[in-house]
Amino acid sequence: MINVFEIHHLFKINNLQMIYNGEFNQDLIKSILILTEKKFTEGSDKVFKNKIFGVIVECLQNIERHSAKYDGTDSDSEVGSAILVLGKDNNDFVISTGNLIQNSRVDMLKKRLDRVNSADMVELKTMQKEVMRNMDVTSKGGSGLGLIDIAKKSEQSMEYDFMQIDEKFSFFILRIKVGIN
Amino acid sequence: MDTLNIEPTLDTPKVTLDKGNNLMEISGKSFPEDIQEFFSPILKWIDDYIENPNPNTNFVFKLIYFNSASYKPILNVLFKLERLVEKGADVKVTWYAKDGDREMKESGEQFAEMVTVPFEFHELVS
Repeated sequence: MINVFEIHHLFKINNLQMIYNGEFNQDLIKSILILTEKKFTEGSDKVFKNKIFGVIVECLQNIERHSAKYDGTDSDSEVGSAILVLGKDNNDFVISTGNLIQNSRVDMLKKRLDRVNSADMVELKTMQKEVMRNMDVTSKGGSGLGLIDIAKKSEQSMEYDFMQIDEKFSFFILRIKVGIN
Repeated sequence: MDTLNIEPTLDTPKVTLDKGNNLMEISGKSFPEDIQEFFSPILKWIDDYIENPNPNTNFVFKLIYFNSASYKPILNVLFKLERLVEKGADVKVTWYAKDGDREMKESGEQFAEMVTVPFEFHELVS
């Protein structure tokens, strides 16, 4: 059994605030809103709190849409569980997520991430308007607006990695930094 | 026509759509679990309002936070108001943003660029 002290140490040396592993849903997102406002960004102004919370919301809603479980193609118990890590790294607040996705979706996601990463603020706004104009009225998202929103809030490149697990799944890691003002 | 009042929750904004008192306002936070379900009565109300509008319409947004899925329904509200402009009605949008919340202000400016409805910008004092 893992020693709690080791976890404590892990949090301390990495300046972590929270790790959550499991299923993501709206109730969790709402709980994180309360924690973000009251705890993680203590002493920061409202605008910064909203920014952090906004990035977390988009990350989690992206996971809801893209993680393997929601494709409904596999009943493996590991599928669909995702991890959220909040911490600080020097002058940045860092939001990291990890979740399984189907290998077939890796290329599409990589392309979107690269495209958003290579855009400056003006291009991001143009992309955002383009997506909005072309979006279906009944769309529930998943159009790439979330990543653009994250990039606008973060103002830094998104770090990502895909670790192939087997012939069907990869583990997708996304790391977003937001400068602490 | 009926007034539509929606009380705010943790993830949905406060909505006041009151033709009699000429008040139309969406304020607070918007990241509902089901964005369609939340905005559907709002869009329906505006559809009815357009049929028989007040001489002056000032649609107020006092948002503190909205998620990326809320962009499209907000734009749809604005598209509907645009139809009022086309009918020759006196319509404007008043967009509030907190002092220092550059992103919220710029989101408003971005919406303003996408529709013909005139926008007024104000600072939101909390």
